[in-house]
Amino acid sequence: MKKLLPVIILVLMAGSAQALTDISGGVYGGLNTPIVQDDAKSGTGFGLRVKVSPLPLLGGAVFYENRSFGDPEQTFFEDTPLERTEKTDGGKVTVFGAEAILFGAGGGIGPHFYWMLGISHYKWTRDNYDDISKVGYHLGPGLEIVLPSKIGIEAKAKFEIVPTGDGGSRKNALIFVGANYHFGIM
Amino acid sequence: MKRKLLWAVSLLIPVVIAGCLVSGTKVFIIDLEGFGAAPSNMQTIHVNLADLSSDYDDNKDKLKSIDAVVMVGDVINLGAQSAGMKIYLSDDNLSSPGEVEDEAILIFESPSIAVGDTLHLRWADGMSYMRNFGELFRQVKDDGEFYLYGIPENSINIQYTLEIAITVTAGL
Repeated sequence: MKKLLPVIILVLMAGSAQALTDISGGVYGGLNTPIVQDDAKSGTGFGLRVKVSPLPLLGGAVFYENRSFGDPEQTFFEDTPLERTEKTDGGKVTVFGAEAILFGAGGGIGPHFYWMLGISHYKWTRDNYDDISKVGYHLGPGLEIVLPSKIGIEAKAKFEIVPTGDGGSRKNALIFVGANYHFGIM
Repeated sequence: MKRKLLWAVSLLIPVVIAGCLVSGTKVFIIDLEGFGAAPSNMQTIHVNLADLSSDYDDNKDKLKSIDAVVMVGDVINLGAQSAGMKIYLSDDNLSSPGEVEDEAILIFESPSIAVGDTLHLRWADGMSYMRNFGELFRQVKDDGEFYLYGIPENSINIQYTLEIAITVTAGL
C-alpha cells in the first residue's frame, strides 16, 4: 500500500496538472450534523461557491451556505401521568466565508483531490432565542471530477467549529455533493 | 515585528480552537416536585440543582456557559377571575410576598389566564416568559443553589406543575 500511495496521489492530482488558471462556480447541497449538541439535530443545507485557482495546487474560494438544524426533543415529567415529549426550534444557519483550496485546486479534466481550510461569518437564528452570530472555522477534504464538458462533479466534507466564548463552541460535520462549471483557461 | 506578530497569531488560533474542541451542549431537566401543587398566596421551594439532577452534578465543575433556562409545564387558574403568576429567585429564605417582591429577582411572569383555563408552557416558546436572564444564568452557573418563590396575581387559586430545562455548554 505504501508503494502505491504516491501513485494514487499523482492520479488524483492529474487533473490539476493540465490547467493554467481556472475559475469555476457551483452549487452544492447535503447534510448538516451538529456534534455533541442536545439543542439541535441533523438537518440539510445548500451552498454556492466561486473558486479561483491561479496555480494547480493552490486556489481560493468564497461561498454562501444556507442550512437548517432539525428540532431537538426532550421528555418532561418522565414516569408521571403528565409525561410529554416537547420540541424546540432547531433554527437556521447562514454562513458567508472564504477558504483556501490546497493541493488539487486546478480545473483540468480528471480527478482533483484537495483540502480546504477556511473562515466564515456564522449566524444561527431560532424562534424565541437571541441570534448567535460568530466567526467560524472549517477544514475538510474534497474530490472533484471534471468532465470534458467543463462540468465538475464534486463531493466534500467539512468539520466546522464556531467558538462561542467562555471556552465553548458549536461544532458541525457537513457532507455535500454538487456540481461546478469551469469558466477558466483549461 | 510583523513576522513575529504573524507567528504569534498563527500559533494562538490552533490553541484557541483546541480549547473549544472539547466542549458540548447539554440539556438538563430539573423537576420542581411539589412547587405550586396547592393554591397559596406564596409557594417556596429550595432548589439544589446538584441534588435534583445527577447530570448537572456530574457537569457542574465543567460548565462554560448557560445558554437557556426555560420553565416547562402547566399553570391552571382554579379561581373565579382572570389571574396570573410570577416566580422569583433569591439566595435568601424570605418569608412574605412583600419581602420577595422587594428583595428577590423576577425570573418568570405569566400572562393573565382566564377562569378555568390552563397555560401550557412549552419548551419551544417558554423563553418568552422568562425574565432577568443575566441573574438567572449567574445563579445556575455559580453554585446552583437558590430559593424559588411562586406568587399568584389577582387570585390565590393558581396551581402549577413545572420543570426547568437548562441548556449549558460544558467541557466533555
